[in-house]
Amino acid sequence: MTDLEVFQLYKEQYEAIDGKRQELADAIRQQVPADQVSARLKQLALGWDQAHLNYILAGNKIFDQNNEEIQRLSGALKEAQGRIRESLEDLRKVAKTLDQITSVVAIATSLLGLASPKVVA
Amino acid sequence: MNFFDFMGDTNMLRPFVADWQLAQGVEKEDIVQRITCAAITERRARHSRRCQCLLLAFLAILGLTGCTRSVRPQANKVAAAGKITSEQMAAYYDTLAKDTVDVWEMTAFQRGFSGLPRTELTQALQKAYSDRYLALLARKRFANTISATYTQFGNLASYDSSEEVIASVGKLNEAVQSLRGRPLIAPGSAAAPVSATSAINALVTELQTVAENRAILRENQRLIALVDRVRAVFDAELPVYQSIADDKRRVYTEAAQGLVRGKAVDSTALVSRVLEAYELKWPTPAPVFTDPNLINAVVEVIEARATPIARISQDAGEEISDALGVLVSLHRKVVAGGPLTFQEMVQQNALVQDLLDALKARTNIDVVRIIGTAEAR
Repeated sequence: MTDLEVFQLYKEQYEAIDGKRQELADAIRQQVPADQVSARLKQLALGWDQAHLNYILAGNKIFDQNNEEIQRLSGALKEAQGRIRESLEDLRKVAKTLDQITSVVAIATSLLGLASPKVVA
Repeated sequence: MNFFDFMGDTNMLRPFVADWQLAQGVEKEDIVQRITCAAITERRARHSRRCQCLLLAFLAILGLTGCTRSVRPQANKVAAAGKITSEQMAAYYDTLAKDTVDVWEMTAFQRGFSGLPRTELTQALQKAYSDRYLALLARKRFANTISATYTQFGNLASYDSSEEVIASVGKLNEAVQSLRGRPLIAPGSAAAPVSATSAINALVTELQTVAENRAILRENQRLIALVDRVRAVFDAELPVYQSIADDKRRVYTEAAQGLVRGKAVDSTALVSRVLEAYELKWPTPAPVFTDPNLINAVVEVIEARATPIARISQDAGEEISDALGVLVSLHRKVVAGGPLTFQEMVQQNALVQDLLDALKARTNIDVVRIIGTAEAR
């Protein structure tokens, strides 16, 4: 049985008890001997709370199982933010790189000038 | 005559220069040495010229054929869609967290209303609700982290490096112009001459586009994997999310019906809405509703109103899951490079927003329209 199936089962169980809670409480007050009413109401409340607790805990268990994955994903997303910032910085470096290329081209121009034939006297 | 033309003519000049130097009484060995030096210099210059021609030809080809399509506009739209979807996820989690508190409070009301005592489990139940509330808040923060990631992705996708590069390009152009000023014709092309400036511009644009595309596609690929996993978590938890809306419907309906049955509340406003449609009015002062049929009718109206509101919350969860699916497919289309249509995503986001707005307003005014839209899809 999967956790989801357990959750669905507890949900149905709780809803069944919850749907009859008021009716059962009224029946206890009307049909049970007065000296037992308090104990029976306590019994009903306990059953109702137990069914309710089972249902909520079964749902929480599904959350718990994903908590680790959510933490991993959150970490991965934060890393992705950092990488994207770095990529953006890399793109901004293009201008700097072009400046460096400009310097290289300027040097190349000078070298070509040096390579020009000299008039021999 | 420029440097290149001069170099091109030196071969023709060399015999005449040697004869002229012999006539001037220069030693033959000196002439041979000088001619050898001139030949070496010439070879070097010819090599430089060849390299330069190749470079300019490359630039010209790029100028003519450089056509890498930028993925920036499409990635930018995907980033916007991702941001909207994750913000809607955060809003949905916020609603669920508030509903969890409401359900717990209303459970306490039910206990009192039914005259049931607290038990030893009540404390554990309160803690379970508290844990659930905290888990939902953690998921809201998680959705905000997704949103922040899409903000960054949007920054990357919308960044146009051309402005910052223009100044540098200008300097580079000047440097290249000093290498060669005259126009260049692309090899084998009958097209008009391409200047070195436009060829350089094309090269720079091409390089920028390639660099931007590489960065965007790399992050896009990573986001596909992450959003796929986000959707898997969301889908795994969706039944629990939907149960919260159902719980709220149940406890609120029961409380409202209990109060009406117990004649503890005035239902005039609710009944008046029906009467107004027929221009009918409840007599004043309004009598207490004692008629069992009337009480039953009001109880039914409460149930009828509560169910669609719960349905809105449940639909919002399903539509957010679908939105995450559409988001992944948009990311994949950016990689594939095909045409992207955002209409589906826009409709999806609009539908989720309608559902969230209706949830926030807690009204069923537009419920029929919204549910109709969802079903039509």
